[in-house]
Amino acid sequence: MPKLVRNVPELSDEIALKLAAQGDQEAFGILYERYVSRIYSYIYYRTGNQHDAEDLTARVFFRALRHVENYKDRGLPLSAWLYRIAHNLVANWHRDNSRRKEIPLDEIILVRHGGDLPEMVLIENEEKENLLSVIHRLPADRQQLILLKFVEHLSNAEIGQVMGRSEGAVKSLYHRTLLSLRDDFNLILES
Amino acid sequence: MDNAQTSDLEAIEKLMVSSLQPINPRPEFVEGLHQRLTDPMSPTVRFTPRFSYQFLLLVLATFLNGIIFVMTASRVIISLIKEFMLVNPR
Repeated sequence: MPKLVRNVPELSDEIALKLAAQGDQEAFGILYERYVSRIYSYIYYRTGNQHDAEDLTARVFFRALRHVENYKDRGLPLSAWLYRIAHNLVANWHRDNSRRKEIPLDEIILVRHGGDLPEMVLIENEEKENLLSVIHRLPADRQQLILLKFVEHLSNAEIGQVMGRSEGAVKSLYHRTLLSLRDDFNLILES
Repeated sequence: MDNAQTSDLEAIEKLMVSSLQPINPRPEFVEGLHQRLTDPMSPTVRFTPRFSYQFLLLVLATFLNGIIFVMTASRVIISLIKEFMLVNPR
């Protein structure tokens, strides 16, 4: 995370939101600094390229800025609200790009191991590529669940808030997703 | 669910933990977007003082060139008119 010119003060999300809703752009800037990396990371995994991830991240925050005064009525934590905006924008992006069958994954996803044997690195990268392609073939809600759990490290309850489901429903969807991932992954390995 | 199935699922979870790492955005992107969000009136492109100084020098040189061109052209035109008057006196 880059260091910006101003320091981020210890301001709670609620207070920063209140100030932002009153038109305090600096307060919105604080919230932006807090969440930009997480939102970018989520969108990056959903789109698979830096250019679209940056474009959609910018749109998420501009949309949040436009609607920040309506935020209170939704009764969601700020992060959940931002992930919902991101999810909707990514869904629109996929709809607009539905002709694209393959999502190119930039090289930065693949980890480079300095000390490991090249064969090991190749195998690991292949496994990782297979996993990412299997994840990209999942329905949108399941992709969202996997990314929120493993990239953003959200709990089932937090994921439930983002997805508008109960904690139990998230748990059950996660289990079904895991089974389907295993089956698809095994198919790839067999082929 | 038997042990083999459980270990399969655990292996997939392990692979996801190691593969799905957060990706950081470019610092220039983060700073640029911050600027656009908090100060929409500010220019999106900022020139360094050196670039601005060079640009001003270029403008000044172009201006001086223009003056020299206008002066030279006017002197040429005046001498042409004088020449024309000498060749064709009224």
